Amino acid sequence: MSIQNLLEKKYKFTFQLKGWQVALITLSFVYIPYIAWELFWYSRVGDVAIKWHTWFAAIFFLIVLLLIPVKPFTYLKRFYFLFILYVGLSLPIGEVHPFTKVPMYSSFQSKITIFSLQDTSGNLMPFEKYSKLSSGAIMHKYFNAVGTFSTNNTQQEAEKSAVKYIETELNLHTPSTNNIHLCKNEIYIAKDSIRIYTIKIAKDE
Amino acid sequence: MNKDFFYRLFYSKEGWFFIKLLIGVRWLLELGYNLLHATTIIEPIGLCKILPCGILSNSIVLGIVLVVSFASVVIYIFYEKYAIPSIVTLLVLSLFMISFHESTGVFIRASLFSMIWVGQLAAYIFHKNNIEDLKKFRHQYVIQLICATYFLASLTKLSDAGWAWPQQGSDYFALSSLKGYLYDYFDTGNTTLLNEGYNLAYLLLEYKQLVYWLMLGALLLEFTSPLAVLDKRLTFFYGIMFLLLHIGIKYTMSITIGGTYYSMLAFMLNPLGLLYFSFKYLKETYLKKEAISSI
Repeated sequence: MSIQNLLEKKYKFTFQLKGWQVALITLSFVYIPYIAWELFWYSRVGDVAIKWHTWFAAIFFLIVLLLIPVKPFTYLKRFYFLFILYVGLSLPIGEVHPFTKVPMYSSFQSKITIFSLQDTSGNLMPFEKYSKLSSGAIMHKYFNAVGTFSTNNTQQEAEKSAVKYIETELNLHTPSTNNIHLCKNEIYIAKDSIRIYTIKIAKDE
Repeated sequence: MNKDFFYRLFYSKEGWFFIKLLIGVRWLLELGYNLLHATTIIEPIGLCKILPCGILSNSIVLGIVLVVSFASVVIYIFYEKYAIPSIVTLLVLSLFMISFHESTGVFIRASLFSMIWVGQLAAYIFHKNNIEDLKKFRHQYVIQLICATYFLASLTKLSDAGWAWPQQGSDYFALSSLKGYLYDYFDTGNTTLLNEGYNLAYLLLEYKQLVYWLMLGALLLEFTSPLAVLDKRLTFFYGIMFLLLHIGIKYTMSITIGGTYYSMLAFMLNPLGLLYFSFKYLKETYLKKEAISSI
């Protein structure tokens, strides 16, 4: 048979596909160019390329994988579906209860800041005597307040506003707490030695 | 400790009862304590953006919520017949109370205190017609969520600091450790705590290499936590490793992340169930020996 005849000959194909196979093939026509496009932009602009549709596409793909009735995927569905769903949703949603990326101590700082209370003579005034808030809770509130105030202000202004907010929470502007000041303690390591630097915050700052 | 032992520890009626007892009581104590010490909302977060969480500042409303929580926990622990309504109530209360607390600016990191109800509810919905599957999956689904939390922790560490996290830790972990003791010192004025904190921090600075290996071990433990889902014995093994991890965190940093710790303890180790079955085993062995010696 000549090449011309081979090319002219008609060929018949008969095949059957299950619903999930049709879905997977159809999705491949969408996902393959989409992934290529995302990879191209990721190589150009980095993390900024990851947008809401990237997360949507990733989560949708995971859901499709969990629905495929093929042994490895049915195993995943039986033993890992909540795991995959929770990880898949927590990563884009972040710190909105009950989702979390568990960010505690994900990196270590070379300097830490803690607030304390002192009287005018420089003596420590324990938090438990003046407030139901602990120093740990104060730090949480401080950092959250800085985050809130920094949306419309500079970082310095946000920190000042956050300190004022903490002083209000601790009721430091009443006559009975006139001699108590909030202090900012900065602790760092220098040449394998731990140093602490305390700044007394004036109430009218 | 063979496979049957772990089946009884996690899936039997007695084992499941002790898991419910520990997690139910702990959930109530932790959330109750945090709510009673909560202050005003600084910025609404999560559910509090759509629900009026501010009403929890009202002592009457707070009292009602705590009473309903208590009743729901009691029903959850003692009345298996009402598992679904009690779990739904506990889930809603949990989401509401924790969202309120986080909106006051203090993150209590208690995502698992809500997700344990999600896992159990999913099992009761999907497997209500098959009692054997239900016994297995009401535990296994929660294990998936606990492991997902540890796995997320490892992903965040790797994304923020990469594999240099253990090295960073060996350089600066002493500061994080001192921070916990400084919090306690500034809260109480107890100089013994301050001295302990400094002693420990300097010890950690002296043994940086050991700290490096411990931190690498912790990171690998969290990263491989999905394996704990595969088998009950692996679940128990990882439970012991996580317990050691949390003991280390408590000792070095004076921190207990209650939501994660107690969920892990109840579902991966079931200490009350362990005590019960160990006592039962010893009693049966003793009675058998007595019976043999009397023959």
